[in-house]
Amino acid sequence: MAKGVWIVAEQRDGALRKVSFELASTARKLADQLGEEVGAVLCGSGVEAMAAELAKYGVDKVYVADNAALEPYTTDAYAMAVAKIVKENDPSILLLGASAQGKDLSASLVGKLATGMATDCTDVKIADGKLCAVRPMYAGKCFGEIVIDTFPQMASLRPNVFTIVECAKAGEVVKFDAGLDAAALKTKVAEIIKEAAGKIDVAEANIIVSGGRGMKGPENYALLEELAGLLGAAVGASRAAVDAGWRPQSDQVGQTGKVVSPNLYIACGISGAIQHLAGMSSSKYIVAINKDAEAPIFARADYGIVDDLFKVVPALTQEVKKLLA
Amino acid sequence: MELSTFSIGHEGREVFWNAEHFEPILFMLTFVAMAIFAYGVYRRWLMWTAIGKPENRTDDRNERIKALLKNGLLQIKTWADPYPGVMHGLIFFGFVVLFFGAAFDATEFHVAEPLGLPFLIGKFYLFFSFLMDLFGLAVLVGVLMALDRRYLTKPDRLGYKGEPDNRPDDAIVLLLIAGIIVTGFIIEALRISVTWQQTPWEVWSFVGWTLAKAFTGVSPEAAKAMHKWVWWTHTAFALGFIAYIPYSRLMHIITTPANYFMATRKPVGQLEPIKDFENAESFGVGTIEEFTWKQIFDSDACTRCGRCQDGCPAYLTGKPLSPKKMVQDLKDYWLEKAPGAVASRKEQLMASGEGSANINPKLKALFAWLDKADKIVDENLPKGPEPTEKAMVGEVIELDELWACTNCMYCMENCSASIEHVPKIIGMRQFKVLMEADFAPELQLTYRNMENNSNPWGIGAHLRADWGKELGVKTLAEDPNVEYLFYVGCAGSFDDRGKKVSVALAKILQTAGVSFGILGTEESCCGDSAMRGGNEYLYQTMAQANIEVMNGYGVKKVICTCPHGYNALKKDYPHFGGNFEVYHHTEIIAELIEKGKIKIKVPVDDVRFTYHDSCFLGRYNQLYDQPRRIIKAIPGARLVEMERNHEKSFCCGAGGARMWMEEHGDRINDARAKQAIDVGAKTIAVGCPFCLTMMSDGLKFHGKEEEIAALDLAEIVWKGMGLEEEKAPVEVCQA
Amino acid sequence: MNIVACVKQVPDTEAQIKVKGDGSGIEEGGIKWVMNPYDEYGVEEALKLKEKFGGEVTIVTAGPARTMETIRTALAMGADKGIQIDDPALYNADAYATAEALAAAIKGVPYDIIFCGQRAIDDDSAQVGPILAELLGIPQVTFATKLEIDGTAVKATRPIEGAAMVIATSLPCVITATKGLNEPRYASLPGIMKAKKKPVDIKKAADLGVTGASKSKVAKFTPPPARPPGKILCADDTPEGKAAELAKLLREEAKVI
Repeated sequence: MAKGVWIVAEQRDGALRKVSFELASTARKLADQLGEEVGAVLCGSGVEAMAAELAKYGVDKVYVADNAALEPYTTDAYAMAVAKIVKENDPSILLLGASAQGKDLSASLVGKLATGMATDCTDVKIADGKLCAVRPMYAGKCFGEIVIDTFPQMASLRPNVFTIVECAKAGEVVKFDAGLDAAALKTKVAEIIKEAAGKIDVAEANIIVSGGRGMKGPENYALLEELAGLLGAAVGASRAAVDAGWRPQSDQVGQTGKVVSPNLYIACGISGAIQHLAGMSSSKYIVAINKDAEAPIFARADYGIVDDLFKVVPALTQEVKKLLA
Repeated sequence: MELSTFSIGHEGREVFWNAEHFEPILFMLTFVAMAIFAYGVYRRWLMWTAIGKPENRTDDRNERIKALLKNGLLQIKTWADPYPGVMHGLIFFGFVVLFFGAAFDATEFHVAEPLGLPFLIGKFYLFFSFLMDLFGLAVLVGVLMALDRRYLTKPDRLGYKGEPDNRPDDAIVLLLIAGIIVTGFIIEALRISVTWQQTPWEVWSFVGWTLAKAFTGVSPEAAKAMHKWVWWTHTAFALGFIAYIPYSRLMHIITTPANYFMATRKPVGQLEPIKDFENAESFGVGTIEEFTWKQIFDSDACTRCGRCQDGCPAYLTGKPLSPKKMVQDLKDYWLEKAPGAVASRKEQLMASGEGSANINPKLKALFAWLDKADKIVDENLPKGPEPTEKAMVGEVIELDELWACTNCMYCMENCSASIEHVPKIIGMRQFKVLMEADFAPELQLTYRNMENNSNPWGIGAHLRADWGKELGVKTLAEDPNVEYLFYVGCAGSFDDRGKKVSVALAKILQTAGVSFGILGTEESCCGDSAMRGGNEYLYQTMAQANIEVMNGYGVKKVICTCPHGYNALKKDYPHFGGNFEVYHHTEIIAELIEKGKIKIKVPVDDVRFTYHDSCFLGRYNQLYDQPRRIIKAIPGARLVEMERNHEKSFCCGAGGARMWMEEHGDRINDARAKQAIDVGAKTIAVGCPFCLTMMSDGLKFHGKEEEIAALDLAEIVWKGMGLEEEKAPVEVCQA
Repeated sequence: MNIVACVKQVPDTEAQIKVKGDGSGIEEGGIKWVMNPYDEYGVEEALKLKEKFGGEVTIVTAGPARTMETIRTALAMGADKGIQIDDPALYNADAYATAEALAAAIKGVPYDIIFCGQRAIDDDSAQVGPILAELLGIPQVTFATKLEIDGTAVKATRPIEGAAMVIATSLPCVITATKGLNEPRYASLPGIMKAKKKPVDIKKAADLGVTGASKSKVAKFTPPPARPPGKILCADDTPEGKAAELAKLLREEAKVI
């Protein structure tokens, strides 16, 4: 009988990523309800020291695969290693982060473990001794409660949604041989390209800070660039700003520019004509900062600030700095 | 008739005075000139008929003859522009009169006199003399005006982007005309200088009489000798003129009137639908052969007058498109392609024997002879440029030109040769979109949005009826027994700005007790942007969906707020079985005001309104008056016209699917907004949601959005009716 | 080159999604069905490879009769033939069962490369491509924004947080496509007309030797919590106060920063 709530910890460049702690805390909660242990799989090269950190958030056992071939992350090496240890120990629940790496790895594991998974969950709970995972579907237009009939019951958790709770446990390190067969490894990382902040393409950005005619001039976009830099966001522009020559055409959001759907769209000094809305209204959250309370953008905004953007944006930048510190 | 037979009371002159034994030579020269002329026309005829798909342009003959007389004989289209109108009128009417004069002279000499029935005598002769001199002078003035315009004033429309487009031919023609007139006057003056004492009445030939004084010192013998020389020069010029016609811009004497006769009889802007998508092998116009013969003939009727360019919104804002240049480029391309096409057509006819089977043997001999002549001419003529392997769409007509057109109809409406530019552009766009699927990505997005949600923004189709929910506007599904269908259109349904117009109109109609309903979510996009953007397939899908629903409810009368829907429903839907009485809301509102059903009560204090003519209301549907009548019904409103209004109105830049495409460089809407700002308007009234967006954006561009309002007439009227309290300003913070 | 592109028919992004009264699924009436946008990137990339290297593009999908329209869309874009797995057993299949069926169908055709969308915009599960690769025993690159092929060597770029990884692998492989990979083409009209005559094989689960049994299921669909109406922030009337309130809400309520 499958037993244990496991997570796959995520680390990059020698540090655990925040989602790992979210996973650990959540696993702890589920394990306590089931009366089972929390196990974490940690892969990489020279990562053993991170095990202790996981223990702080409630991990009982950390299964460490220390292997040069596991650094940097590749889908097949990780999937091979994790599948091996999971098959050996037969946990009942396996949680991963719905991060870029976690989404990639988890789906591969589903294939290797021949099981089911709920992707990008916003809530997980135990019902009748089984995992019940709640996740948005149809781009959030409805939610589904997923139950899985096979083991491990897998779920990937949306980052930044689950709370981190400290709960020190032993964090016993169990080293295991990843069992990597070099011949079977068919992918390798040829290169990692770091993106300069602020240079992210608006079409692909998760957060966009956008400026319109209300920016008054090209020089004022420095305000938005600073905020975008902090948020890892792209800087967008309305057609009016592009027309005025303040911003390049490639930054234009709207019907005749780029159609975007980021998680957060911050519209500064943009009135929100339909031509602009058509390009960004599917954003998950919309923030409008505009002096004109009548601007149509406020009808679409989740959060609106009716005030001078030249005062609000710098203040917001300071607040974000504080939050990220 | 001898000079001595004339006297006071029997005024006249000796026709062909001083020209003994001239007849054989004159007849021979005339014959040569006519032959050269006829041969030129024949060669051109072969070229006109060698390329292009068939199209019937000889139906409805009475109307066509009327158009020919109106625009050909009375020059109605040419008069529309004063300077060139007068210029061309002087030359044209002068020539017509002089032509008849020359014919009178010839008839008098060769027919009337031999029969003993001279008619160029007495008062008629005096009048005739006066008229000839007057119109001769008119032609000369016209030529001087033309020379001034082409070589001194040089308006941009005679060139392209500041570069003059003068060809040697232009000068030759003008000088030839001037030469004919000047030599004519000199002949007259020399004759009068010899005979004036016997013929004092020649003072009626006032130009010749005045000029004769210059020859006072010349002996009669010398004058007679000079007269002979100048007379032959005059004759050479005149015959040269005739012979030169088919080889020069003078060809427009034939092609332009022909084009009036063959001008489309369809309602303005109506497009011929593509009929059989399943079995057609190609769609749109990708090669010159895919134009109809008439579309090609158009380019030969163009006189490069530049009226089209003069109001083309794309051209005037620096885009590469000029309707004139496009037509000329097509003409050059046709001239390159035509000889090859003529040759292959001849071969075809020879091979099939068809061309000669039913022809009279004499004619057959003539054609054989002409063919020989053709060969000799072809071999000896300086070779034209080798036919280029250029693609017509993309190289001859560049894509930036093709897509710059707003379909505003200025060029067609103002063309003095009845050339049809817009269908050519749409045909070529159809080729790019339907055949090659090669067009702007933002337009692809728009089409996908139309396909998936039946509106260009791609907003969820289920939201289409939401604007009217609070007003209790019923759908036809709820209540089909209404007089009017209010076809709301995409802007009125989805655009927050456009929704305000829909709401205002609904309230006006409700107040006036007009019974109406909407289709709600059963309504589809009208498809105008798809059609004008070359996506005929998508357009027809949407048109058919609308027609099916509307016919299902037995709809008879339709009100549209968007002129694009209005025009499509009115003119293009009948092709697919959608026959409705379609009204624009300004027509309905103007009538409601005039019938006293609604009243604009709230006075404005001497506010300057200007009205921006939507192309699809004005030029497409001649709805110029109703919107203006509405403004005049507002107490205290002052209607000021922008410089470009009515038929010459300037497009907002959104038509022809341009609404959905990025515009680079100076924007048309900014230019139009400037024109409104320049007349001091405080309110720009419009009757089109696209114009509304464009004018609002233009005002913002000029930083005038606080001072000047762009409003739809429905909004203006609803506000003026004073039935709704002004909404309190938006509460910013509810504590 | 033999290219396979897997596609799924999904409701249009703007479609209204209504949960059935009993929570067993969504109401399908009135929905406009389209090709999953991420699959379009896959189809486009497949067509580009065909244009470059020659070969054939096969479209594979699982879904009910209406799915044929989506296959025709891909065929109109230029794909050569299609396989439709239409079996009621698979209509509500999870990612694993779907991938199993697709894998079984793909095994029957020669393939050098297989494209999938990174996820379908209906169930958003992002699993089918990777499971397919595992079942076929070939490598995979997910979320590809760039793809280069030289002989059998494959280089694909995929974004990770704050960076992009260039992954090297070899054919045959599975690529899951995402925005940025290309701009899907608009089908030409002759393409649309020709698509009607291109061959599409319709198969049942049994033809492929699969049962369609899922590993997981959606036990219950629920409508999303009503989204609160937009808030005008004014806890404090100063710009600084408003900014602080916004930052807090973005962090704690929206959880987006």
